[in-house]
Amino acid sequence: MSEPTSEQKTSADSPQNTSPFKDETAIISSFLKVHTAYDLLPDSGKVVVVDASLSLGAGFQALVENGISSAPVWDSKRVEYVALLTLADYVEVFADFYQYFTPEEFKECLEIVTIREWNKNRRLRPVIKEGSGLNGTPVEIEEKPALHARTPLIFIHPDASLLDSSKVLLTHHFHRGPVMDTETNTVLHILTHARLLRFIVVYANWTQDSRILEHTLEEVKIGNFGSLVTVRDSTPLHEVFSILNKSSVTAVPVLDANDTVIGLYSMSDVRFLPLDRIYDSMNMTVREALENRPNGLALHTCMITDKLKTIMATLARQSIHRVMVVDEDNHLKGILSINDLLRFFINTE
Amino acid sequence: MGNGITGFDDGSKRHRSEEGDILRFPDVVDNAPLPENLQEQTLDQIIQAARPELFAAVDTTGEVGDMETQRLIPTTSSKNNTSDEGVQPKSTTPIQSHPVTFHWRYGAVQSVFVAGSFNNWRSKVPLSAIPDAEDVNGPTDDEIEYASLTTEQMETITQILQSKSNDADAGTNKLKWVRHWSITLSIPAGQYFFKFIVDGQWRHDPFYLSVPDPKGNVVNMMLVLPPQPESSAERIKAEGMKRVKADLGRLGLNKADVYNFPNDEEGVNKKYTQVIPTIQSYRKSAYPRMVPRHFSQTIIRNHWAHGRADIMPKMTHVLVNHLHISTSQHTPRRQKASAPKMAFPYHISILMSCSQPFRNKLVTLIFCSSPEEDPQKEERINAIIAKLHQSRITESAQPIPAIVEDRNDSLNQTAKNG
Repeated sequence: MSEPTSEQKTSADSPQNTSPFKDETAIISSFLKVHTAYDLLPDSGKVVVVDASLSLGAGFQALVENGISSAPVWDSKRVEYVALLTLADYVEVFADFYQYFTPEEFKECLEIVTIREWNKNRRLRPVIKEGSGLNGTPVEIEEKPALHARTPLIFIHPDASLLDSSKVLLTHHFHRGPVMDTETNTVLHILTHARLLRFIVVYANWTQDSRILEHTLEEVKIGNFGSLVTVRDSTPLHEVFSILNKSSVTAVPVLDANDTVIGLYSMSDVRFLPLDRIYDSMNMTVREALENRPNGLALHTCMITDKLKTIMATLARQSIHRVMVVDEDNHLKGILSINDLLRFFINTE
Repeated sequence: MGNGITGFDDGSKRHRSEEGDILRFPDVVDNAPLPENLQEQTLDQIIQAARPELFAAVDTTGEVGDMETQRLIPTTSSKNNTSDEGVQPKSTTPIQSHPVTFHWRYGAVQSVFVAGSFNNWRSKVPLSAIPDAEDVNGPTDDEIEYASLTTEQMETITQILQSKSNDADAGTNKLKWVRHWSITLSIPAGQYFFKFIVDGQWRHDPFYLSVPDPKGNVVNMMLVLPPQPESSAERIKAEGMKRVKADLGRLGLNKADVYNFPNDEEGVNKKYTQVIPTIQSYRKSAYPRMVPRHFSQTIIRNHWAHGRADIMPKMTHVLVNHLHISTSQHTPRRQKASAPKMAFPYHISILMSCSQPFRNKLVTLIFCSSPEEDPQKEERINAIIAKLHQSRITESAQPIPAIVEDRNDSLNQTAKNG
């Protein structure tokens, strides 16, 4: 139930052993090794937990009401936490239900079908990744193991090092994972890529050896610059959802008729759909959906010549997960996400 | 120029001696003859004339504080009160008086009186002699010097002491030299001036604080203070009880209704017992226990900012380890004014939250739930799911792999693909 990501893995000519930046990234990876997940917990934090017998609509409302992207699901019949309910799951829900049900049935589904039942019957998602590195060479495609509804909950122990926690998230292609204390079987916090990045940014600001951040994106060669999944701004929202569903990317750039970038629609933007008119709102264009967000058509881009530290600062300050790489005319070149950055720092596959 | 009593600012009235009092002070310098207009009165009359409200205070049973005041006013003072029906108490609040002992330790033969601003210098209060075995020897040299006894006085004293030898001739009113004289009066808190009248002469006590009055006479000054509470703990407890009573009063409740301990009539846990109370004895109270004021505002649904939804404000330790339960459909939330009004059509009927410490940090868990589903709904759900599967099969070109059954879940009946 956790959202899979499909970020492109880094280009093949920088395997772990011969990465030219290994020495420089060592400082960050050793920093992550020293600190534990407990250190990343806020002093006074909050976790919203959802009962598995809640209806899908109620679960969505719980996420939206509390302003969160994910909530652990507690099943009282199994007496344990079974999954992590995220907004990405709701993209899947809405896409499926829109495709197969009438508007009345859609509404009824959301009111009746419980999270438990839906989780049992999720479609297995085959994942195929394509892409190419910056210089155009084709890249090995790794097919992610298919997720099915009965994987045990992937969690992070509070005493695990941040390096191990990041590896857990990256291996399973998750953007977030619950930090759980096994003794008391409680969820303490939802650890996200965004929080990890903020931690690294803050540390890098006062560390002396920040050579790694002075490099430009061009030198470092991370990010996805190959065939990107994009949509036109006139595409209806339900189609965007279905594209997001099938292709396993977590966000799509939105291009206008001239191929210039006007925005990025991500899976977490589904929270801005009006709760009482979901079916109808899926008929609007993605441009309207972008404008309906509180921050409207906010566009976060960077250039390939930007230094890593400015890009990371943008990601952290704007609380976004990915930034689009554009050229001078605002034409899309590629996408860089926190996933790519973390892989780069940790030097994992 | 502080002849007036500085007093304390809690609103209760104090006897205010005006500037004129000292000026009306008999125009005496030390060793002047005693004026005749000072009359000797009984203790009761003196105090009643000066402070009629003190008598009123004696009769009322208002809250005077935890301290026991030692009163010399006999309980038969009520007879004096009836004769003074015209006297109204000056204040309705009871006045706190404190015992003050006046002690003349330099000896006197005939009598010692004290007069002061506490009775407006209008009358003199007699001190009682406290005979001592040492008295037969007369004043010591130090005392003579200290009390500034004149040669005349010394002669008188010596004569008196000499006359002891004539015991046989002694009458009942034989004079004796007594060193210690004392009286304890109940005087309200404040600043007072006083002076002793020893054997017909105005004397001040050189040992205590003495100040000159406007005419150059030396008078003693004293400051009567309320006793400090034994410990700050008692003071804090008293403050707490005051607040509890205020809260109860505001709600119109009686203390006995809310703080009702078993085996306890007045609501104050007066005695210990070995009888285990039954549940009935706790049900006596009509109202549930009052929630402490810390919980008057729950911070569970607090304002969130984008990206910071998992942060809570720092909470005091008293809010931790309490379970909050809310069953209302929609708790009003503070939303940003710019945010569009959102509708929340789905019903999450039970919200529980609890804050607990985890090592050095706090974790607040908010649990959203609803009551158990009914079996009719389950059938409907199964129908929907079945339709979903069918649609997926016809839609997709690839066969959908069978859904893996969970080994642990014996209730998983519908997961089988058609």
